[in-house]
Amino acid sequence: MSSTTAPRGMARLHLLANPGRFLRVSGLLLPWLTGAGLLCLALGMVWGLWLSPPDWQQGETVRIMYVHVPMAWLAMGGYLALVVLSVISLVWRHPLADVAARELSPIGAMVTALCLATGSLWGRPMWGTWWVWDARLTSVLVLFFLWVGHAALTRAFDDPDRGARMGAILALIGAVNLPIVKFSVDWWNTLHQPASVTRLDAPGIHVDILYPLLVNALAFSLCFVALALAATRAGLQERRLRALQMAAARRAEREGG
Amino acid sequence: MTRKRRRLYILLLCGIGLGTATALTLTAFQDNLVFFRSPSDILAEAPPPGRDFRLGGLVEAGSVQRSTGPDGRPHVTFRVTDGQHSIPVQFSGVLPDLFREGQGVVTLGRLGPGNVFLAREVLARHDENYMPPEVADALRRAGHWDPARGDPPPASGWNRLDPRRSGG
Amino acid sequence: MTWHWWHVLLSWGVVLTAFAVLAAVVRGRLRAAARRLAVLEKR
Repeated sequence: MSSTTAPRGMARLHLLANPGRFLRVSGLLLPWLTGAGLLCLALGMVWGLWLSPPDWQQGETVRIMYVHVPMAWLAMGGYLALVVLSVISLVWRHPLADVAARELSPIGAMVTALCLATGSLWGRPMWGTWWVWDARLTSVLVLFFLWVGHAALTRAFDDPDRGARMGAILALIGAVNLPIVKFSVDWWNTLHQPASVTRLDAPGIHVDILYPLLVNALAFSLCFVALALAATRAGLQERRLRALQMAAARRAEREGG
Repeated sequence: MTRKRRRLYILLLCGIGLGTATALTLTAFQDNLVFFRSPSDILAEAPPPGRDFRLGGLVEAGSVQRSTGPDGRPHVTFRVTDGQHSIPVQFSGVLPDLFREGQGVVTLGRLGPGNVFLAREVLARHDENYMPPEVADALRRAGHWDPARGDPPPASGWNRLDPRRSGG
Repeated sequence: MTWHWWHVLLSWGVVLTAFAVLAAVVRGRLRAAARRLAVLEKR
């Protein structure tokens, strides 16, 4: 990948070693991830929209679950990944973690927005309302604002390192919201029903509905990881591009002056 | 090495502080975070008269009476129960599709004369159990479950039932 | 088709469209970066 020698003036050469390895490994992994994701998605779509049975009380509307629940899991699982990246960024100052966190937040904001949108489309026919301010819905809205805030904050500074640090601090403060999202349905009365799959006893979902849900969850997770990896690759290459351009500008200045 | 370890410890300390503060705040505001209150809550501590609040629970079996009000709108009375106590509810308007006896509901309104809850809005609250209609029918026919009386039996008893065999 | 089905299809449509659009954006960024890197490294 890095065929040219690093230009002079570019400090922290040792830190580029790991991003280089990341680019190599992710480049090998990405086609397989994407292929597997699309394959699972095709299977999940046919199973979820056509082959799976309706629910005894919700009827066909239960098919919204096959997209809503994976989006909710990804919104929370993705935020957990952001928390891990933020700790790595703050404690070990690893630049790859900075780039990955910065590229993760727009994707996280997207899946959280999709979770809210599909939840709204599900709530209207089932509960009789698009939106209520109960603890679950409100805490997921807060999660969305955290994702958007992180995406904006990391891009708000001229110095990308400073933006990354501010974003990491915001992400870690926002981590308190994660258990609130997860346990709000158990701690307080909410309109939203409690968890079905991750119960301590058997999941309250018949296997004919559970299996397509798990296939779709796997499909969207693979697509999410593929998107995040590809975005991080793009971020790294844009960073390298900027460094090369700056080095070229400095060289031109030196030769001209 | 020591600088990294120090940063890690500072981070952990901040995390513990933040977590404790959040837990204390949430405990303090517990009453404002609940979306609805159960009939037992209401009877134990009546809300101030004339104040809107949300009442939630199950629609009591055999309590639903539908009629047409003087304004031509559908009128319904039912009782909301939490197993221990129940409160009568009056509502004029369109009910959500899921409304039935044994269904969870959350109603918004206020207490009227005679401790009757005058609802302005009725939302359905479905449970966290999902099963094909054939499986639900089989459970009902076998006498394992009456949906009008609440939740289905433990999921391990039905979540692998074959709907084709039980549907026959 | 009932309005419940419309909500189902709309949910799926919104989710799949959003993923497709984001994938196209990332793909565009990757290609643009690779093209400009190739130009810079040739000089």
